[in-house]
Amino acid sequence: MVEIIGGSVALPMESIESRSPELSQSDATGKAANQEADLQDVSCCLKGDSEAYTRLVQRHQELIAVRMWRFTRDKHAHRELVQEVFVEAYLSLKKYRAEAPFEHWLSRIATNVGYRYWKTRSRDRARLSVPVEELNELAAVEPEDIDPSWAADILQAILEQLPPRDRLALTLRYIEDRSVEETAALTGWTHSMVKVQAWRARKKLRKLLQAAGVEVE
Amino acid sequence: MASKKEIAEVATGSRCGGRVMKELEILRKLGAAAARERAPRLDVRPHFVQVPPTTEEDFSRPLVWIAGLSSAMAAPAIILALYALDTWTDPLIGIFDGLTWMIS
Repeated sequence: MVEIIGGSVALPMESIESRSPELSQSDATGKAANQEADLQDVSCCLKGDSEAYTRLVQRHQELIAVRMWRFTRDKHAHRELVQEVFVEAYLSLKKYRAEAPFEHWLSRIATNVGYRYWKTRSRDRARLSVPVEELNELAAVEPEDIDPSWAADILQAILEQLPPRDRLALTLRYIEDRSVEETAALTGWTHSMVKVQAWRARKKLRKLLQAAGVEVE
Repeated sequence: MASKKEIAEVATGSRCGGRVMKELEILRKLGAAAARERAPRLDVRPHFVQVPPTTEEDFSRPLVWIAGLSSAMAAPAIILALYALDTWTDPLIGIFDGLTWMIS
């Protein structure tokens, strides 16, 4: 079984770019400039310039904060996770081969850190308690009309009931809407493994919701 | 590990029928709503300002070389010191050494 490792596997660029075809020229130019700055700062950091890493942290900490907020809703744990991502990235900076943008490499480390966090917390699962009536009425409601904090709380309560592997597969494939290729690149799993893991996770999710009293097809 | 049968069934979509399932609708709707929530703003830069750089460049630094040479000099110095101490603490060894040389 393939496990997540903190190496430097490149994300498929074409699949990521295809998700934002409306990307304007100025956005693309800004992105290219950021990537250039990232490469320069990585190089400076490896030469001993400690300020260069601070610049990298400044450029990416918001993205990582958003990403790690999916793994925990506890503010203290969230801060710790964000720090852990940057510490791990710093320690393995020499392994970064610039085959993919620094942001993608960092996302992979963040996924790894978040997954490990889930694994350590998977033992203390509480019994699922969700507002069944509101979930049953969800079909008639648009996502824009749902309170984001309420949705995030419910989502976490549901996902916490599943093993970390299933949680990761559901989060990446269906919540973040990533392709099989992207999920495989982020997790280190094979394409078949991603498909099977996602299918198994969906099956478990259905059973879980049914057991909680939610009407599911 | 996934069995070959499982992989084939998932690939052809025969097990999930290729239709949108209710549990996924719930998941996606909650996910879309939750995505609008802002993550807490934080700044972790202060934790990295004082981190000393650890690169191969360390080996080219003068202090590293001085420390290396000092360690290399320390070994023969200790051997000489032990020899001197031995001679000083046991003068009879010198006398017997001289006698042995004269006899031979």
